[in-house]
Amino acid sequence: MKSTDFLARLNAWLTRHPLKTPSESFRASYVEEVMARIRTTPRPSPVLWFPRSRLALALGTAFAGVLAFAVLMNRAPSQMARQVEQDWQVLATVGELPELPLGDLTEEMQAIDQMMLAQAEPALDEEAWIDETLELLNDLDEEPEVSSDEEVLEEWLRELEVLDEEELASSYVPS
Amino acid sequence: MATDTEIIEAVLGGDADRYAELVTRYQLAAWKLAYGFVGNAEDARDISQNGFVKAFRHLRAFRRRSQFSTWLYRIIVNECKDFFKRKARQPQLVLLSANPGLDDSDDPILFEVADPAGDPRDALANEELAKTLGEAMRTLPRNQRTAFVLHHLHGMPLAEVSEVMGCRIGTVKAHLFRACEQLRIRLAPYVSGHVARWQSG
Repeated sequence: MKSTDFLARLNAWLTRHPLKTPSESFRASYVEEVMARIRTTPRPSPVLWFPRSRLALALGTAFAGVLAFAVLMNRAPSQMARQVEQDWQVLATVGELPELPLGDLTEEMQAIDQMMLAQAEPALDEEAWIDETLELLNDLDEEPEVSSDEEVLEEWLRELEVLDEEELASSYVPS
Repeated sequence: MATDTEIIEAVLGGDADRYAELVTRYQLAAWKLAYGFVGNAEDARDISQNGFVKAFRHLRAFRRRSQFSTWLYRIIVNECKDFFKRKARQPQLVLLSANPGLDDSDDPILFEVADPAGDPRDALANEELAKTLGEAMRTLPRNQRTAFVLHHLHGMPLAEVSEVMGCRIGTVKAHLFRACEQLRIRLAPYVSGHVARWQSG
């Protein structure tokens, strides 16, 4: 059976057979229990001061930024900067001036990413490994490829979106 | 009826009792969300209630960039993850079971299968499918299960799932794809045996 057929049938079945619902008595005490705990919980601070403090914080941050910029622009080089400059001059005089590594940095970062992926502890099963890899890809801001067969993947994702928009979103009732 | 924002303003203004309105509004959705994860009614109750209490405690930190429900679901999903971590740390007897991934306290069937108007043979087939689907869901890796529960059981749009899970929509799609593939493989024997019934249903 194709993935799309399976998904359509599964969704149709889930629409007719949703998750179980707790009994009335179960629900009746639910709110009371939460509120009993809420009454013993420290209350969140009143919001009245909040917008004003946020404005003050924003103004303060902006002022600090301007001040820092002004100071930096007029400031003599720091101790460390002077030290680096001196070291650089020493290296230049002995003809050992190193090249700036900026050009290689991107490649190195990519290599490190690949090494992280390659050297990751092998998970117990393939699914867990895929799960971890997807998380890692997400952390690296990479869009994952979920199938080597582009056409099948595209078709499936389109189906998923159509189902999402037409069927599932329309049946979404939060309470 | 007051909006979520109005209730939150009132609670933050000092009227904590109005929080009950939010609890009443989202209790079922919150419970069902946790139930889809943990597969046990009592645990789902504790987890979802913890979620509400945590949301109350940190209500001032709620930035209102998303809906209150989305924020609450995110808290509950994190509570579920913590629940599994705690459970994994607890020493337990390992028994050979016919239902892998199924704890003694877990409900064997998570879905409504009763259909008074339906054919009794359908009820039996539905019960069998519900049981198999529940077991298959329990074996899914955590993120795949999260995406599946939120999207397919909770009916949440992909954008909201990505917000709740804190990842990109592409990653959610990948988790869903993997989850559905796993379920398709697990349910294949069932589907091939009952395909006519399932199709006709």
